[in-house]
Amino acid sequence: MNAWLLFLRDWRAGELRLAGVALLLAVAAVSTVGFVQDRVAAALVIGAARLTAGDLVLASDQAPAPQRLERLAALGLAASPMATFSSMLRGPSRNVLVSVKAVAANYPLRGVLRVSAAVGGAEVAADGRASAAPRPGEVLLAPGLAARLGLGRGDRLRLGRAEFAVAGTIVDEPDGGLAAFRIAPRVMIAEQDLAATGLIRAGSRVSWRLAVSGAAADLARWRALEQAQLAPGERIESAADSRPEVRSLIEQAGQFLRLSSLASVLLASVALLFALRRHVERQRPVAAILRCLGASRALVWRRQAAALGVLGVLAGALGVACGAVLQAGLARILAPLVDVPLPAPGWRPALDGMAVGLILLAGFALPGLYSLGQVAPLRVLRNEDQEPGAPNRGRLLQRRLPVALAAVLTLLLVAVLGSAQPLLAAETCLAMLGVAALAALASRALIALGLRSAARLPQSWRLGVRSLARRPGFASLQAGALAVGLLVLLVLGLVRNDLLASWQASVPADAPNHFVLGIQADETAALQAFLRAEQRPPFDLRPLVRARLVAIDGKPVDLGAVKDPRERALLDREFNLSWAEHFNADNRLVAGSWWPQSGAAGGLSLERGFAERLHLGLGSRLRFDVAGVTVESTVASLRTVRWDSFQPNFFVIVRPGLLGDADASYLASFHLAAADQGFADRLVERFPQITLVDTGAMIAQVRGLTAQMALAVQFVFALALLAGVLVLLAGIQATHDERLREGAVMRALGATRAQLRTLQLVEFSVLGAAAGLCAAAGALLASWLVSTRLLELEWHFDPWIPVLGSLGGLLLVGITAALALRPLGRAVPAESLRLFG
Amino acid sequence: MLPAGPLVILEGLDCSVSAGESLAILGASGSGKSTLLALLAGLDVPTLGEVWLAGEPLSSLDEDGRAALRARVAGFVFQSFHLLPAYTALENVMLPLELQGAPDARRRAQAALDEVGLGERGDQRPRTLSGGEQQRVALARALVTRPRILFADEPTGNLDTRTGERIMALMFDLNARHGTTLVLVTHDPSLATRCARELRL
Repeated sequence: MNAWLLFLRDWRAGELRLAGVALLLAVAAVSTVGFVQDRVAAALVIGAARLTAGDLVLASDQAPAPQRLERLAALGLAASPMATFSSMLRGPSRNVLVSVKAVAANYPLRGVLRVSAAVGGAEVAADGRASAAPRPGEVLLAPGLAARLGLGRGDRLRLGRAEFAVAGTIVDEPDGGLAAFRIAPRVMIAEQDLAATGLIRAGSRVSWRLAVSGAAADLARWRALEQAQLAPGERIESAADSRPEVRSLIEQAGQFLRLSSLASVLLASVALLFALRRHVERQRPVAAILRCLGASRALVWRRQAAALGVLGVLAGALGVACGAVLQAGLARILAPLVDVPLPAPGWRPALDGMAVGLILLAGFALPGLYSLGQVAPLRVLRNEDQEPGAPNRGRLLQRRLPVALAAVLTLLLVAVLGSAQPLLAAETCLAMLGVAALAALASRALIALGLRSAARLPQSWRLGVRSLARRPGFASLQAGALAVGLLVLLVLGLVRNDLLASWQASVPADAPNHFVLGIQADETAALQAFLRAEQRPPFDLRPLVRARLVAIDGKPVDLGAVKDPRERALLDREFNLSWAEHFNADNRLVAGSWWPQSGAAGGLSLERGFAERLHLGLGSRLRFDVAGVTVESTVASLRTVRWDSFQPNFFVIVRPGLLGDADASYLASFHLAAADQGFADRLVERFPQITLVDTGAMIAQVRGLTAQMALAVQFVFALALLAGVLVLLAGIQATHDERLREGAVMRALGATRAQLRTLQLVEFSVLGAAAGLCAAAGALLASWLVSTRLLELEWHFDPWIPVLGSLGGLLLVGITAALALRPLGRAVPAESLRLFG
Repeated sequence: MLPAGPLVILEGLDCSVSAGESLAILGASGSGKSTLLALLAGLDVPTLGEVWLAGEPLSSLDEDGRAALRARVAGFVFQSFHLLPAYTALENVMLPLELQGAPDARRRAQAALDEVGLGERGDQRPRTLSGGEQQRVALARALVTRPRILFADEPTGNLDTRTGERIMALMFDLNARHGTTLVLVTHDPSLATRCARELRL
């Protein structure tokens, strides 16, 4: 028979509607979250890309070869080369060492270069150009430099052999960053002028960065092509690789979004499971009639599978369509808040949604449908709801066990497929099942308790408890499902709070926003005296010594033998070594001990990620070349560092005294309030040779990014919450027929509407209480697991949250049930009874 | 509480029904009438003994084999009609033909509905039909495949006397016209007397 025809007949009867809606919801949840996640993730990449002025950056010490640029053009990617080097700037009154950056007219590919005409003056628009990048013959200056040299718009200065006119000062250089720890202030010129300066010669130290932007697929192709033929000293960076503080934010947000998406899927699955269970139950008599009329078992279940197959495809397609509409709505809300235009979503979430829908349908429905084939035709002669023979436990188990097992396996499959960490997803699922089982048991215990004390309960309460006790299996199932739903919501709520708290904490309002670099040893005393005179706390000065890593465990470092580009990048540059007597408060010791007692070995403390990348551990022996002097020691401890604290931090810290009398400069960071600019000016005036770096703009960027992610997290959380409410509705719907019939009988026997309402409220309160309690207990455990293991956050036990959570859950159950069941009270008994024959 | 020991419902029963014959199975509630019908139609299997249907020993067939045999030779009418609520009257009658894969199901079902006098109401759902009309649809469904044997389980049990009589008249008429064997379970002696043979349990 025609599957479409079968589907139409079943659909017309309303048999499939609930299952269809539940499936649509499941697919819509997956695809909405998928679409939003896709777009937000893409926006995050763009947001992060503005910190590197491109999606990807090829770093090299050579100017990009023409064939490299041609290859980019062929792939349809935009490219923007830039060169950075140190040089002397010859101003009208004096010469200053500067860091020159030569940029193309299309700089920056991502983010915005902001320029003002004079120090502290109004921003200059780009005169209709796409970018405010300097035109040939123009130069842009760091504000501090302009102030120091007393240069303003139109003034002239020389770099090498070329002369430039000052076009303005740089307010915000998107990829200015911290990473380079520029010693000299920035000067920006056009790339075309580079040759005219005559400063680029063989042997000059120039760092080239080729920023690239375009579609993700093209970028990936280009990256793969280039990766294979990188010359020594070359590497490709993305925003996430190059900026540890941004990377950790993006990773955490991604984990949470995936977790929320998984939660929505699980919740919608529970709704679907309820709906399909009801559908199969309603199909049981139909199957018996068909068997009686001579249909084979295979035909009975093939027929149902065909109808459900049509349902799956239709509901899946509609679900994806709903997802697309919902996400468009979300994007509209998000658009003004995110300063990056949200990119269009890809196709992947649609396919994922369809796949999840079909997997869920197959996993949940097939065992039930198979059991329809096993229905005894004899059923038609007996108007009863049981199989022939005693409805003993064994028989029920035989029928339900495969359904339950298949449901569990399906959920595990979906969870594992949809998660970046399959093991954790599987554990999460199993933990949820544990909580569900616990809630099922608790509901049974509560029912037993209720029955025992029934005599002391008011009339409608007694009826409510008895009504629950009449279908203990269903009550357990529902309590279990409710518990899982509440659990997911509570865990998401708890983790969300932890996550938002940690993000807000990561960039405190008084985070250092200025770095002072290049303080000489003989200046430190004068500097601290100056601070005392200014009535400011002394700087926490960190020594800085440039060194090159030359040997590991006695073996000289051979760059040619290092395969991993990131490892090579680390080895191929000068390190900033520092020494410290005391352990830095924003570091965490993860192995070894901080400066063991004198005499013991070990004079180095490494950042853990750094040590891992270079395959170093406790006891590894490193040899450094410090300005021609060799220093060798072993690793005594490993630390983790919070890069997003904006405090000076170092990959390698050495024991004080180990570096002998090596020439060190010092650096410090401090917070400068906006109204306090005078202090910065006095500092620079008093110590002209130090460099002041304003990191405020960069902190603002990271903060904007954080706000953007917090918003995304809230939205995804709201979606999961919606799915949770729908689970409740589906659970209530599942017993709708029975309630309608019972309600009609009771009304016929003279029960008032109020009595019926109380009865049902009692039922759901008992369920809600059992589910809420177990969910709260599970949520604490789960949020601890998720926070500490998945997101690596500090976990705080807050006894109020689970209490409030479970109470909230109870109210949620009660209110939803009351609203959903209201029509039952209004039903006309005669009609309801006739409906069931 | 169930009594201890095995519960014997039917024992020492030996009877045969020839083609074209009509047999009424009579007995009080709980005497095993419906169980006997179920055994005869292959809806259930006896603990001991053998049932032959249309020349085939049912014990030699599995569930699906018995279903296939039912599809070939048997028609059913039930006390509570058992029409599929989701299907229209016509679709309900088409169902057995569709299960057999008959190509002209719609035409033959329409003809069967015409025969029971409901030709005009084929697009109605069971819910909107009266009890007598529902049973006529069930009768059309039972006879649409031209079965050699019609099993009827208290076909008038849920109907008032007059409607019941009309249904029975229709059934006996069709039985006579198509030469169908009729096995009827009833507790109504007046109905039983219209059958060629009576079996009291």
